[in-house]
Amino acid sequence: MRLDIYHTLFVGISQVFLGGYVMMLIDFRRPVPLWRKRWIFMTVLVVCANLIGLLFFDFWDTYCRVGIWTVTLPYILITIFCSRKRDFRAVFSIATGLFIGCVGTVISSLAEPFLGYNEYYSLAVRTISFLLMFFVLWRFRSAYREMLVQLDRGWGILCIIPVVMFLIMMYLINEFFPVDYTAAMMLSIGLMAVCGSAYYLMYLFFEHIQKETEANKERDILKLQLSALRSRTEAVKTAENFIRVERHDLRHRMQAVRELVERGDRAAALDFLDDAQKRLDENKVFHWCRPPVLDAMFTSYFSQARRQGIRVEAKISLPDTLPMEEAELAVVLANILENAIRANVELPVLERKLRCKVVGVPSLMIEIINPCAGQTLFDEEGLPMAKEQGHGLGVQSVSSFCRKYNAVCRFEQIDDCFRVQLVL
Amino acid sequence: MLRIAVCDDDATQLKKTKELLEEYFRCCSVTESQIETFRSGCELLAQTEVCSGFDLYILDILMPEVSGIETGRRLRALGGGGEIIYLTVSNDFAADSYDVRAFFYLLKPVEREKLFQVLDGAIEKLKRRRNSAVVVNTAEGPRRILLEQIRYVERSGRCMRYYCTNGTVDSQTIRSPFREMASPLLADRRFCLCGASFVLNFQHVTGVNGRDALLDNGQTVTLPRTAAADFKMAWGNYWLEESEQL
Repeated sequence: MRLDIYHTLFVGISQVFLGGYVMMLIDFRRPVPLWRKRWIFMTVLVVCANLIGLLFFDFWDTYCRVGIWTVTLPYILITIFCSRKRDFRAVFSIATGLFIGCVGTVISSLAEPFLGYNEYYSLAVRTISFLLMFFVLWRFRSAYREMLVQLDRGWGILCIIPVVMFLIMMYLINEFFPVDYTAAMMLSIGLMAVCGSAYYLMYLFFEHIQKETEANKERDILKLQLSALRSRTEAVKTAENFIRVERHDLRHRMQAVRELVERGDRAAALDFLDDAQKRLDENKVFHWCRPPVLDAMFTSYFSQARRQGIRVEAKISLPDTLPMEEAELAVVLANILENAIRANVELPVLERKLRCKVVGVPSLMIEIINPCAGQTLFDEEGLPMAKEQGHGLGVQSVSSFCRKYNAVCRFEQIDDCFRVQLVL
Repeated sequence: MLRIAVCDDDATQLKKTKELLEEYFRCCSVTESQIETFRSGCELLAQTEVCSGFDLYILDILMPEVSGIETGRRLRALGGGGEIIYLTVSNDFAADSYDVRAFFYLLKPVEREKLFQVLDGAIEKLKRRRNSAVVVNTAEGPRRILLEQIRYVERSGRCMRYYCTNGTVDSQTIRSPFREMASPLLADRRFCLCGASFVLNFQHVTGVNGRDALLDNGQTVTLPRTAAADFKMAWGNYWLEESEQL
């Protein structure tokens, strides 16, 4: 029995690298380690079946015709099954992996004439090109993963580029190269240049979106800081005015008390002093915590809640030094409180309630509970799903905050109560 | 015997508070008590360091040099537990008192009934925490270990090893599954089963970073990967519920 080692190596090496590319790009279902293992197992099974056919059963000629059905199609189906978002995102990731593979193939085809058409030299060049492409992909991997999360639309259109590109390349490699090498090579290089440029433009577009998202976040933080500063300034102005008036009145009051005491009218003097004490107490500003931006944020949202007829129960215990930017935490809390107030407003006034607990020891922990109408839907990660376009930004901000600071968060609905917990 | 410290810079208030406490223990409580008074936070802290702390602290907030809140913070840093009740004329520091996990916060002038009610609650809480214990069969015979002294328990070979604040205790060979043997601990909400052979006391866990649980003695315990996130959430939930005491 003749062992077709060359073609087995050829397909084996190609599939290993293609598998690596796709694995780098795919956003696996949760839990990620489990689904990644499942994907590896299933794809290895499919590829090994083909390799056994190639090695022992002279499968190469058939493989050239039906490889798209025996390897590529099962690959695509398995990958879509194991992806978290089973939409055009998964198709784009697979198609990109295949496109990268095509680039590697074309590079090695370019080198063939210079290597004397030696099969194994060609295979070595192919392997090196795949390795190069691997490093290129590694470089852009994290930006790509971020976009999978942030960009919600347009993936279908983006898919057209690599899918059409891949189909044309398959036709060129299988049908056109054997007929007219030079023309096929020029066409391939031209196509790859166009596709490569398209990918680079996509990368710039992704970068732009990310910068915009970061800028929006910064803007939210600055807005909050500004609003907190304004509130503080107002409060200070009010306090200053009050002190000015009180200082002026104090002289008169002390004179009045002196006269009452000299007259022996003790009861009237004590009443007068009680009134003065009450005036002082009425004008005190209540502080929720010492960090000023957070204090202003709590004051603002709790006042807003009370104006909407929501009963607020709050226990806030925050240390002076926080493990993150005060404004960043304030934005996250503001988002959660805003969602809680919005949910309350849909209910009759008597049912409206908001419980907010924040503790700083032994670590920062937050719990916000509010009643809600209807049933909340949760996705695979346990995050509430947005009902309308534009909503869900609060949940996204909590989620990215937790990723950044290694915190755990939990959203749950128990009967008619919605609870958010966050633990750093 | 309950050891109580009262701290107030105002001698009249101090005397009044002590009298109220003596009246309470005379007529309303079966517990014996020893009440000590201090005129400043520094005095109290110095004595605490020497005598390893009191069971109950009744502190004024507005004091010169070291305020009642700062005294509370430093007492917590010294360890040793104990409940703190704040008495003060001003509620300007309402936001600060939660920092030190005070049991209660009373405005002066204190009403007798209100103070007695709060004392009932504080003493009840102290008794519950201090008397809860588990009996472990060791090679040297049965041994009673207070739950608050246990940092964590793990399966070690065929016995259970209790890591306590005052040392390690090994049980005799266990014949039932670990979870079953740990059920007296798990009945207390301070304890959590993590994986198949770890039980940790939330009160002694100061942080959870990835898979590592950091304990209050600086030790790190590596949690099973699949249980780490759930443990962190349960730990957070415990402390959030503890804050209900305020």
